[in-house]
Amino acid sequence: MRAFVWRRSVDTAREVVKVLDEVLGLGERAGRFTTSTPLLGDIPELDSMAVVSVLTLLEERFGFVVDDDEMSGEVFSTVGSLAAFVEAKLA
Amino acid sequence: MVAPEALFVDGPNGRLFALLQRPPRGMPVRGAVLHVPAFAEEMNKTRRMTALMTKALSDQGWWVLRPDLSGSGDSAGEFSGTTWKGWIDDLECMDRWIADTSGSEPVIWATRAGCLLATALIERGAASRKLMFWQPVASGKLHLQQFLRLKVAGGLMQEGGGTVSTAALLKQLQGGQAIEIAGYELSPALALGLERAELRPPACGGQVACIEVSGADAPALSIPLQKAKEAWRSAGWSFQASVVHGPAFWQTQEIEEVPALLDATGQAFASLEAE
Repeated sequence: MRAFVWRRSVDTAREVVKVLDEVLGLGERAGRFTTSTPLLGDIPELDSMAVVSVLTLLEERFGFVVDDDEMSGEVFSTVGSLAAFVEAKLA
Repeated sequence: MVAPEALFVDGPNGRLFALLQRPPRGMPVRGAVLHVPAFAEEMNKTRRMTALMTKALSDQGWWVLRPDLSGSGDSAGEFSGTTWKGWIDDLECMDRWIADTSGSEPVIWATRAGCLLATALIERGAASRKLMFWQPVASGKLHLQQFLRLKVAGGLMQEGGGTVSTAALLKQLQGGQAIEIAGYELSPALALGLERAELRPPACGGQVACIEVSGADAPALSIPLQKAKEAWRSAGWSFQASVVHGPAFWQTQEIEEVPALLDATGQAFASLEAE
């Protein structure tokens, strides 16, 4: 059972950016992120360790569990794709 | 400020390196602290916070011993040769050393998966009854899973993507095969020891203070820690748990400092001492 309901997907995107900011230390850059901002391959700090840290923090913050077969390059392609992934997990 | 002393102790698995921080000369000694580090890369990421806390504690009159476990840091042995049981042996040795050297049973201050080792140390019969846990890992199984995930994530970064799964990696370990992950050669003995470890209350009872760090706007205790609180209290432990606001310093890309955690820990030590 979810503790809260997201009314708009922009809330999820904002929370996702916060998590990315926390793990990667984006600073000012985070303020410029939109749903179409590319992630994997475009952010040098986003290495495999950071990918796992982001997933772990999302799991702990939102309360879902990510299975191995859900981990794909597509999920991490943009802020929007990651937010959509989180929303699908919450649905 | 007194600089920490680097020392070597003959441990059960080889020479152990440790840093010993004494209180400033003339400061009344309040007791001793044995630090148990986090696992693998988390140990590296938490070094600065550990050093800052060590200084804060020693300024208050505490002896603080920070050992490197076998196969890590400057202690003897290779990571590939370490075992979970071996690490508990190392801690038992360091526990005796600081108790003998300082004249008092240490408070055991553990970080992340170190909390699992600390719990095992008490279960084995260590005399300390005071524990300080930073962002404790409640389930060794989950912690191992997250570590194995690094290899899966590594596959994502490559052209064509990897199709290794954490389940397959775990099977390999159970079959006696070591695995290389993020530069660490993980032995089956270490992995499976971690996998079986849980934050279960030892039967002897005592006091434990836990602090978590959360970056959420409204920081709240994690559900695993809430469950642990109930289990430990039911087993007769005095269990205090709190959460402070800050970054997940054990896993951020940049090394982060969390002043709120230093303050909260100082207060928790005062409470542990008082009872």
